[in-house]
Amino acid sequence: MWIQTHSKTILRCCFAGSLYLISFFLSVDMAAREGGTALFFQEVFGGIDYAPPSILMEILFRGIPSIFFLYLFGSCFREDFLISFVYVFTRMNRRGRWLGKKTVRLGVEFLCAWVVTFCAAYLFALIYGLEQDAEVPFLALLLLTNCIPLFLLSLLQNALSLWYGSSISFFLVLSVYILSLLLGGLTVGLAAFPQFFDYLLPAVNGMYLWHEGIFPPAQGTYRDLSIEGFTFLKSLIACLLWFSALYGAISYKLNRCDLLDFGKEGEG
Amino acid sequence: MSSNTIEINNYTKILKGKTVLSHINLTLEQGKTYGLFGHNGSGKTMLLRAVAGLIVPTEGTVTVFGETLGESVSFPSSMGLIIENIGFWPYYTGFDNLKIMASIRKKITDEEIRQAIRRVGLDPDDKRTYKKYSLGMKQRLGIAQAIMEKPDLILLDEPTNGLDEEGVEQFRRIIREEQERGATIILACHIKEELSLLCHKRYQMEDGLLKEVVSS
Repeated sequence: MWIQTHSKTILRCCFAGSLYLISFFLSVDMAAREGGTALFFQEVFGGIDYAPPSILMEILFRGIPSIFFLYLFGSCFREDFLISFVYVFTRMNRRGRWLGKKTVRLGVEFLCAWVVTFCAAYLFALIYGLEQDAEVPFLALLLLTNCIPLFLLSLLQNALSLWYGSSISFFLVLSVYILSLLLGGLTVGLAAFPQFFDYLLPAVNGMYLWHEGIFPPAQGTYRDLSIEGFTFLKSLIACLLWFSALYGAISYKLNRCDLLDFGKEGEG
Repeated sequence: MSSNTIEINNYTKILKGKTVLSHINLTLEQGKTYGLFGHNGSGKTMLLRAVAGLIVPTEGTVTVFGETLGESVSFPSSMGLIIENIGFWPYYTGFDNLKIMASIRKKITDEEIRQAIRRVGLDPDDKRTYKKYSLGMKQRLGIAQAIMEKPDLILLDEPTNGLDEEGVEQFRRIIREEQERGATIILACHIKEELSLLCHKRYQMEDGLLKEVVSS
């Protein structure tokens, strides 16, 4: 029965990163020529190139696998409300307890999906015979840089889906994702645009290659996108602040609304 | 606040400009059975939702056995209910559905789940999924879900809907057993006579107002 109950979760974790397969094929030849596994991972998961005029095409091309992640994980909260929320919710005594459990579960599932994706990438690189030069700290940081900001967007999307339905919440978060990357990318180097503002754009925090001095670039790196002063530590702090604000806002709203409102607006 | 009463104090709920519950004041004693009757749209279900913690008041409070909803707890700590459209997972059996729900509080064993299913006249080993249940079977499963954890408070909204004569008789027997156990029960029904058989007190609701108290 465990597998039956969690089959949807298992499938979601296994296939969330499936669109990265396209990136695998597109990046592996160059990585094999110029470097090794580290370059391969950097190319697939390092983020978009903000050098105009290609940024929009870059977002649409390189961003699609991440957008697919958001799409697949976007209704996890709403699932509870479509069938038997009364019987499940009321057994938890506190609305906050439900929110806490669902948020932790979303985070764990998200992380698992990313680990599966990275394992698939590593296996792909192994099969292609790439030089094994990717170190664990590099891979771990690359995974967290991709996972954490997208998880924040997914949390936002799940919360919005309770009030506005799956479709509207997906398009709202997609807009946030694309606009924040556009804004972050187009304003690089502009003196009038305070660099700290980049930390407030959640999708920008997920761009590994935009960060300064994390690790020496992978062997064969040709994309130098690092922004002066844009560090991983500050990105992480920004993400933690984002999470606190987002979770607090969701909790506040959840404790003050009628549960009848959920599962009825937008699509079912 | 007494820890063995349910107290509804000046409870008002306004939804989209319409007052659906208006200055409800009610004290219900632990271990008694209360009935709410009234026509469709009178506010019976809304009052049950208020006691269950499913809605937040525009004004007023609900305190269930010493716990004020929205403060220390969102929902009564020990509650079973049938309310809204009955909702279970369609591709699981009746037993599996209840097992999933029981796993949240982890208060009862598989055998107790099976006992609850038998009490309502269903077979716990029935391999049919919920999707294949008749309306009466779905209602019975809903009742089993409400009583399986032996809650202190049971809220039942139109519990005999879809039940045949045998089912109604079984339901009455279950209510008497729960009364003997000491549960506090609130029944909402549009059939006054059904409530007179089971309740210590009955209340009529009309247009969101608690109109009168009628002792059984």
